[in-house]
Amino acid sequence: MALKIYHQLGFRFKWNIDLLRQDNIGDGLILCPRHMTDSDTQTLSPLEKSKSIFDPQFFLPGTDLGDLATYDFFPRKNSGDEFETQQYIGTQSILDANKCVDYQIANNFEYCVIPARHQIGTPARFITEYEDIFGKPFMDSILAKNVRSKILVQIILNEAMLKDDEFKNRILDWTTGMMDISGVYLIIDRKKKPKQLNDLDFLIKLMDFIDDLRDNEMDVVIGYVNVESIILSIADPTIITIGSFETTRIFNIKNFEQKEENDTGGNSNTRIYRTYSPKLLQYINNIYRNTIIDEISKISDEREEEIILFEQNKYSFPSSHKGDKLISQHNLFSMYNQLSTIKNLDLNKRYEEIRGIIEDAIILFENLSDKGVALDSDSDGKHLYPWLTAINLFANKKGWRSSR
Amino acid sequence: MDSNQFEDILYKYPSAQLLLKGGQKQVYLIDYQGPGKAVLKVGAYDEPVEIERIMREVEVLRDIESKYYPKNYEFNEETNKRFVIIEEYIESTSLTQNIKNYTDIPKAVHLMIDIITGLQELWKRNIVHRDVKPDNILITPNGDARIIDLGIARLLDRNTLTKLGLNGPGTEQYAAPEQLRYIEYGKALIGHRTDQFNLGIILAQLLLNGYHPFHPDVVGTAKGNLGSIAANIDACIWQKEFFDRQEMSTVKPVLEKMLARHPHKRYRTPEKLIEALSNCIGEE
Repeated sequence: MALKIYHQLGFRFKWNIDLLRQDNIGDGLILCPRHMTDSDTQTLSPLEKSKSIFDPQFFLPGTDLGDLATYDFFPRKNSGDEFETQQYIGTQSILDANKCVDYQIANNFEYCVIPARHQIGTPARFITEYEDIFGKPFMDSILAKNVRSKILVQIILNEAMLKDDEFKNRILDWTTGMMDISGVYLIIDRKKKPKQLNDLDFLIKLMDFIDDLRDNEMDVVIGYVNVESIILSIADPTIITIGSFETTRIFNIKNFEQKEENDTGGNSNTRIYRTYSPKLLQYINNIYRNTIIDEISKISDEREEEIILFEQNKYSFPSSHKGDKLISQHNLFSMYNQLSTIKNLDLNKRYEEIRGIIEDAIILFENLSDKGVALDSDSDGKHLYPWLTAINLFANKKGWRSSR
Repeated sequence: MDSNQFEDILYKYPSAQLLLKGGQKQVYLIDYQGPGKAVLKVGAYDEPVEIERIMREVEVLRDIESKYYPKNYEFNEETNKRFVIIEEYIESTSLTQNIKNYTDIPKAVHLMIDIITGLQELWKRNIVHRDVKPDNILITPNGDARIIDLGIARLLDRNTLTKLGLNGPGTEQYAAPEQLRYIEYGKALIGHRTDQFNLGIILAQLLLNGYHPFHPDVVGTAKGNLGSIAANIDACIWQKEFFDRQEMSTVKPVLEKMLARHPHKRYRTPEKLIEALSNCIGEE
């Protein structure tokens, strides 16, 4: 089945929607009520809604509302200032669940999502609490309303959960045991640094987790994912996401704790802009990017072919450019185009292709180093070695071969 | 428990012939107006929640109206936390008594498919049997499977289960790992795949000529503080080598999946399970 690529919407959601509408970039949207008012959501056409997933974003039901206040189902809106997340059970959660399901049905989104709250570590009552607060109220409502769209259960999976085999297996047992749901909307809650996920154990377990869900014929939607989406794609997720800012590529619960004035990471004078390089599988600090483009005449791969590190596309920008929109659109364009080259490949071929891209990227980083370019730790290629290992181990397990 | 605690109830059924006597359960064959014969079950409970559960399940049986389950004729709550169930008598013998008739793959697999088809009546109502074992499978003279003791085992065998080391409902010899760790894992992990594991044990046992696949005499004893069969079930140690032989090659992968330690590694849907079983005997 072809992989679908959706926009993970955030603060500047309009940029993503523009790309989808004007350039056909992306197969759909994951909506963000935290930043999109109900009025914003209603600007989408029925067709766009039918290719959209509405994430209710109940991550912290007791925090400041932001634009969530425009939706009548957000817990704090109905429980008032006295609301405490820990006490959020019973009648109120049933009311909110009913309203949230009603909203999702009325808008005819692609899936109906059962939300989750954010948890730290591996809570002993994780499953029981989820069932009480979200699982049962939402499922009761969904079944009573005879919802016809497919149902996703949201899981916010942190590093501790994933690395604790017993805990991870219990989540899989529980999730796959819910016979009325079609899949999982998986959010990976990981450390903000490094920007590219490079923990080999984490990556292997994450790929296995996705694989286990797919073995159960469940849809898997992976939200808030950075460039590692390309290697996760060999575990055959149904939908992966691309995001403009880091806040939509790396899940960070702090972003949901308070109303942010600006989610883009500072003002334009102090910000470090980065450009995505499909050839390097990395976002490169623009100071380095400009130097590479201006000073280094030729970067080659192992075949000594000249390589253009940064894609030339409709939104390419000059070295002197500062400003989020153009860079963001350029990056989304590049990322989507790269993922598009592998999305229709069968898994063995996809693995071979990605393996080639990673191996080439490793050589290109070496070539850059040979030419004296010492990249900063957020722009270098250290993540590529665990990535290569992770996909090779996964391929071995699957019995895939590489012709390279 | 006082063995005469049901005397005043049994007094009303002078023809009662004892069939089975458990910790808090007694089963009798009685004369019954209409069908002629019926099964009388008398039992005792401790907590109101237990009788409520039994009442719900009686309702389910009445609702199902399936050939796979005995019809319920009566249910009454009695004094002193006791109850009476009267249900259809099915002329049959238990699978325990018939194991030797199902030792070849096609017969065993067809029987499994028959039982699964019956259990689907429960599963689609989100009910799990939790105690699928040869004693609870009846074989009619025509060779059809019937399923008994739905849910009743949860209450009636509880003392026995506690003694055996089980934390939750079920019978140790046929329990799935999530039943053995019920207190630790909770009810959320109990589902139709729990019954699937129970069935996996039965299927393996049939093909092993009646030997229990997890029995220590067959595979040795795993380390652990549970009973020996339970320890082997929990450690997923069973007689796989027997199924390495060529004639078992089609059934082995199906058994491995049914007997997977974790429910998510088993067949997610009954349809997939039936499909896999059918395929292993060359039927679609």
